[in-house]
Amino acid sequence: MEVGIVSYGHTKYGVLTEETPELIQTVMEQCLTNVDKGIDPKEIDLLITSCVDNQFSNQHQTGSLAWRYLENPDAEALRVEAACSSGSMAVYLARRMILAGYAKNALIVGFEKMSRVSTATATSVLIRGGSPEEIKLGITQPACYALMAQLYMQKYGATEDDYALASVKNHENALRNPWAHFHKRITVEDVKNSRMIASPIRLFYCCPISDGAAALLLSGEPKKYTDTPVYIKAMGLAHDTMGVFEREDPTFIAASNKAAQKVYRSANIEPKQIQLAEVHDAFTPAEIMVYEALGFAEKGEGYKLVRDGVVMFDGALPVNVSGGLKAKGHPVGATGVGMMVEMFLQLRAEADERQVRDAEIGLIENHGGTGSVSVVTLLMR
Amino acid sequence: MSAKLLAYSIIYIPPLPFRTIYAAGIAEDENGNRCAVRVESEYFDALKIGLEGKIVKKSTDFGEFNFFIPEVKEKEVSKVALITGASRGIGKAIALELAKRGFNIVINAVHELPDEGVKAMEEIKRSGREVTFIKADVSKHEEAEKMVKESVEKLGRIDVLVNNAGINIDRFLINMTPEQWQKVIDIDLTGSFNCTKAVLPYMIQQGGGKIINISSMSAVDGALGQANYAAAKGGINAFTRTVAMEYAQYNIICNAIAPGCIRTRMTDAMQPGALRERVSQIPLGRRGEPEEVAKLVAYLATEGNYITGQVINISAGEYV
Repeated sequence: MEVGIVSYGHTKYGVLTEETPELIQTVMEQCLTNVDKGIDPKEIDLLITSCVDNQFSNQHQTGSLAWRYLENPDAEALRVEAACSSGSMAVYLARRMILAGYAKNALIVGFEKMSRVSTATATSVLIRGGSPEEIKLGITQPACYALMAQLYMQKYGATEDDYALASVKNHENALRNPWAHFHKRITVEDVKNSRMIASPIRLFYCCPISDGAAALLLSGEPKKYTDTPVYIKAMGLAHDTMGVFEREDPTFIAASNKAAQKVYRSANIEPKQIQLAEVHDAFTPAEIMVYEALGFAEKGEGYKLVRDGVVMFDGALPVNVSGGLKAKGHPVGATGVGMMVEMFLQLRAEADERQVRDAEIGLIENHGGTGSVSVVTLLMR
Repeated sequence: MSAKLLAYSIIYIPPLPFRTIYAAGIAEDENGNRCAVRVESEYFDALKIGLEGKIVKKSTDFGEFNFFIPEVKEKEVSKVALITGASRGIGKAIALELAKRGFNIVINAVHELPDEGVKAMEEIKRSGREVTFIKADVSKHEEAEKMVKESVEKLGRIDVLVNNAGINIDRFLINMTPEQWQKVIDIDLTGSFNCTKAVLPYMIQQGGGKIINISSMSAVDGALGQANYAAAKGGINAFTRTVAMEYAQYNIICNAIAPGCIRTRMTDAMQPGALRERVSQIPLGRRGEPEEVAKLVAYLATEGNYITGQVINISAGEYV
């Protein structure tokens, strides 16, 4: 059996007026409506919600809330949390449950309503994905990535310009994505002149605080619902230490590397066969480190993929054509699900202006914390 | 046990409940054990990868943390104070007093230095401190910005800014021209805005600083013939409170001092009868000396680390 994605829902990302219930309901309705051959809600036996923090959603029991909108009293509903990788983790769990025979069709709803709180509160909430030692000390999420970015520059000679160029690329890509939080072209100078948040991380290296939701319908019998499903060929889940300070090499996102290796082994493919990728660029220096973890570049050479244009929209391996977390936005619980929606559209050649030509094999990397957990997903049409 | 700093990041937006900026880092001890550490803002100037120091557990109101204490070489880092309008009077006295307390000094005036300003510079030099004069009109934003930049280029940093430059053009309101109103506002109030705005990026980068604004009793009480001056100084008081609130997170402390009747050119110019009448209203029965104001400024500049957003009167009991 192969699990396939058969439908999707997706709101715009940004500062939205809709609250958590409306976000959930909207993408669920879209997801049911978008099934090519239609589906009876009673055929959906599993619902999984993904959201990171109740302080954002202002709602416990989001599984039950989603269940309310499904019109299938027999469906089972639960919630998954794995910091920023919650969305992919929900898909991971749903796929496993379908493969194990516990469910036939699973609806996954990722969402977050982050603009409910101030930036200061959001900063405090988001570091809860770090280690207990980091939380106690008062390290922020950008500061954790700053430590990694500083060490990377020191070790491999990457520059602020390289990090800035990744931000510029993702903003450029977001111009083609109507769902993106930002539709604003920026320059390397804009990035380098932006406010320092946690040295050397500047504001324009950082993803925004976004609201948004995305949904996916997974099926063990995908052809029953569409002639053009996108298959989840392999998924890898791996972990690393929670604290950046505990890692032997903080410049290498080992969890993503381990997860990717599992995927490559399972699907018997090599990194060079990947045609496009959506990766976790919550802070753009991380995108460069992820290239290395996924095997797109050797250790210490990831930044050259940006310099040489390989990962640009028209490059040999476009990365984050959606705009990435940096510019598409990062409503944390929705992000992993939204990445899958992007790849679903790309592999079905339905991505309009941002369509990558002849896309057949795509990879998604979605990590939590600063890489203490990572989920890598291989999708093919 | 000695340790070294492997990486660090200055956190400009700390998470709740923390309010002021600090650096976080990864430190490694002699045995190769790593831990997350905090570095206080007083060490920002010394921060670099590989910095030697030690890891110390310290108790705070938010629990016990690992702090990295850099092994800063014993060479004395001389602090720098920039005093605007310091060629004579209260400003000159502040410059001399801060030099006595070990500060290197930037003296600013809008005109060439008068003899007493030249003498003050010589006195500061004789005391072994560095001193430089920068001519600039603080009411002009570009000149204030250039002055601050030049101060840092010449003396390396700015730890204390004293916004002292001020004028008065006294008239009853009905006789006051818009130009006379505007000129006092531009120098006494906008000048403080210009200089404060210019020093903030340097102070933030250094991990803190002190801003001391010279206000006046007129700000609270008003004064006959001083609508422009009293309005400017009232503005200074409100400005002081706001700067204190906005920049406390960067360890920047901002206070104002409101002198009463001080022996300056301003009070020397009063008619003898009017002066006697004025002095007779002062509970301590005399004018204050510029040096007395300077000592209060020096206290705020060197100590007073738990005082911010305050307007402190120095008026011999006139305002109680």
